[in-house]
Amino acid sequence: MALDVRLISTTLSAPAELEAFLAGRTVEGAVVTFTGLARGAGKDGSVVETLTLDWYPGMTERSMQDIAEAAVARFPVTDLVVVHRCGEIVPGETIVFVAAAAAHRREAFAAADYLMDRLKTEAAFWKRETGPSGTRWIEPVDEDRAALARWKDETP
Amino acid sequence: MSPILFFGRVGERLGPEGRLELPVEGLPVREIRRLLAERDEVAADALLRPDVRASVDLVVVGEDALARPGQEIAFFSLFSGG
Repeated sequence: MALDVRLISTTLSAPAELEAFLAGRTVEGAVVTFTGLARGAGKDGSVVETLTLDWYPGMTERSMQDIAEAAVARFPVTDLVVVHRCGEIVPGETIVFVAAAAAHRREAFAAADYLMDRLKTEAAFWKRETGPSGTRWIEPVDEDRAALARWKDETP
Repeated sequence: MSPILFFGRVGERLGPEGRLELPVEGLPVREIRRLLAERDEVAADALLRPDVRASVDLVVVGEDALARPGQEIAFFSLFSGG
């Protein structure tokens, strides 16, 4: 079991991460990945020029690690990678990359889904969108909370 | 003087860091929050909100938690998530 959790302030290359994750893999039958991109428009359609993810050194990494460890405890995955950007990100750039390897696809899909639902609401980041009309803070919306709530009652 | 870190909306209002003299026996988070908020209206508005949480040594804590000199204390708005 390998758990690779990283917070980076440089460009995140999803293809490179996937290639490294797949290299030499002969045991598992399934690898599921999720790549999150910075959008060029806010929820109300306004133009977003930059997305800034503030972080608390130490706490943010710990929150990511805790979420990844919970996924490993909950789902029969063999390997997980979670890479998250921090700092300033422009539309089109990758914010987050998650990959889960498991014997079968359902476990891998579930682990990646669970990881993203928790990262989207509980990871220690503070997100701001900046565009021509100024800067605004982004906080979890009801849709994110509802997605997280699914995991409270379900067993894998 | 002990550094107090601010993040999110709190950091936007108060800057990344403040300072406060803590007694050696420590103070509860509630009292640290009150003393910082007493300084001016901006600090009061930024800190006296139920959704502004605190941490001591990177662990999110409640208002009764004790913080001593040398520990890392922070106040921050709700996490956005990633």
